[in-house]
Amino acid sequence: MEFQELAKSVLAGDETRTTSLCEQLLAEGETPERILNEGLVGGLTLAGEGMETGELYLAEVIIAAETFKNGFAVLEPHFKGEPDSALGRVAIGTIFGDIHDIGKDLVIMMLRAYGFEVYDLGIDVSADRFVEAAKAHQLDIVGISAELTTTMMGMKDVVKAMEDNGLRQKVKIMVGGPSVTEAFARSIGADGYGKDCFEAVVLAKKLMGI
Amino acid sequence: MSGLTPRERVLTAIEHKEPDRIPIDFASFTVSIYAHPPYGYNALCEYLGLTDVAEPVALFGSYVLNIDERLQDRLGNDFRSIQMGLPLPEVIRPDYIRLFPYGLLYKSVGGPFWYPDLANAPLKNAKTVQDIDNYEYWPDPNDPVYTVGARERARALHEQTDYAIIAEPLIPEHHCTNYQWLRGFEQWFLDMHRNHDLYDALMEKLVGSSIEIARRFYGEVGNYIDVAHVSGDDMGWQHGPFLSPKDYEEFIKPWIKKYLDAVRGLTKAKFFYHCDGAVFPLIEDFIDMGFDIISPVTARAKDMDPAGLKKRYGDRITFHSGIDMQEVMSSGSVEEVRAHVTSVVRELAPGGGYIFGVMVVPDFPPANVVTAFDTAMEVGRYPIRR
Repeated sequence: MEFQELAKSVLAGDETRTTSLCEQLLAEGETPERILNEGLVGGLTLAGEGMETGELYLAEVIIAAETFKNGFAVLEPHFKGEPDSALGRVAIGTIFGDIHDIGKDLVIMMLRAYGFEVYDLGIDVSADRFVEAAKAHQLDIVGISAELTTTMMGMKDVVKAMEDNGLRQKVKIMVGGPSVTEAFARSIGADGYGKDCFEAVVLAKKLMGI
Repeated sequence: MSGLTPRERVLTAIEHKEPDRIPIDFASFTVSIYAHPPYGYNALCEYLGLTDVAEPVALFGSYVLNIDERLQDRLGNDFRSIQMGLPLPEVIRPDYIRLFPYGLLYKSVGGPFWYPDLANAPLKNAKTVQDIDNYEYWPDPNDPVYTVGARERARALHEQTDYAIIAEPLIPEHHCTNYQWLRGFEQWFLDMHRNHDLYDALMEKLVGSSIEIARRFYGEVGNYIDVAHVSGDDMGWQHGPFLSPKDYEEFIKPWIKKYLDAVRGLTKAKFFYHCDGAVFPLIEDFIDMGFDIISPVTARAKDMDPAGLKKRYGDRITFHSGIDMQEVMSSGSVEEVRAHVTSVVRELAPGGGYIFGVMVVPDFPPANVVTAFDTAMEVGRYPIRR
């Protein structure tokens, strides 16, 4: 019941109620994983569904995402210790020419929560910078986000740059964004596509064979 | 009605009467025609056999300002424009500039494309109203750059030509866009809902300075112009408005109305409101604020089909464009462009209240652009054949 309340408060963009419910659930002995999955994520899922059906406006979804972050900040210190690099090293960035970061930031947050070691490459990231990061951090996975149909094609350049630099066998590539599809991901030679930040976690685990 | 001048044609259409033919706007707004390959301005000129046009002068490296008169004549442009002067950008690096007014940071994102650097939005870290006040790039509305030569240019166009004259205080009038670029797009929404004081303070600065600049500009050109451009900023995407009609009414409309009320008395011009996206639910507000023309009517966006718009709002506001730039103009055949333009004109033109126009972006083949304008000229003769 309280998890539903938490989900509703995320959906409503109620920062105060969201953070206090997170604190209350922690105090009651719930695990941060459960609060995240059943409460905060629940709210974000509702927001995503609302936008798909046209019941919610972009503004409301952005505010729900921000509220998710507020709640997550309460939970974050309670997740177990250091990221376990054995689970996987991931670098994520928004493709060059594209400056959207909301989707990328949510994926980073979720992957960190689940114990991945995540490097945030920021926005407007060139193919070369993805390659540099892959070399510097001995990455297992590169995640590319594109918000725009006009920038999406740049993902293909990243795949090619990874190939040209002999990294493609070692590094898996996952892609995401509102116009990206599974078929598109395959067509550019990526290893997978996640519809949202939850699928991104499932996909990252799958790519790591976990 | 026959033998109308371009100016009479435009004003007749805006009054919701049928002129001799639909008025045509070819690139008379600043952000209308791109200099870039693969197509854009140069390819269009070449296609029409204009091989001796002047090197394009492009704003932000993108939008052509010195459009060849022959090209405008060939495509039937009924408008000519007066652009407001702007301070020169500060070049920080060859690929990074600060734009004035407001000190927006732009970076080159490959080739001639420039984009606001939202990661370094100049006011993204502002926490208080004081931080807004202390920002170092608030404009001086008395800077002569905004008005120098404007009166003479406007008077000359008004007295020596019979085109409809359109004026555009570009940049200051993009109130919401400027907000988004100073604070970040997502922060714009968050400020509305979570930081009212800061939101109001920043909008007051933006709209207040924009009014001051516009007062000086319209004070010079107001008597000579026929249409005044106001960018309502893009309020929608493909699926609907970015924000709810309630949010629009609470957070946006009062500011746009404040601007419009302040400048309306300075000119008899008709007010032209630019707003991209699926904004059907907001059009009632646009009409209520007193706008005369709405553009561009993003044809493929939700509920923005020409027939539905004409039926619901057609007797109260003039529509501009309505042409599908997302697919037909870029990847359609010449025959598809022709069929599409014919259909849009037949829906929107009857009874007046329609101005044809379409931007010329780099991926529109010249044949499609020329076909669109030629078709509009041909099928746009009144009475419109259904």
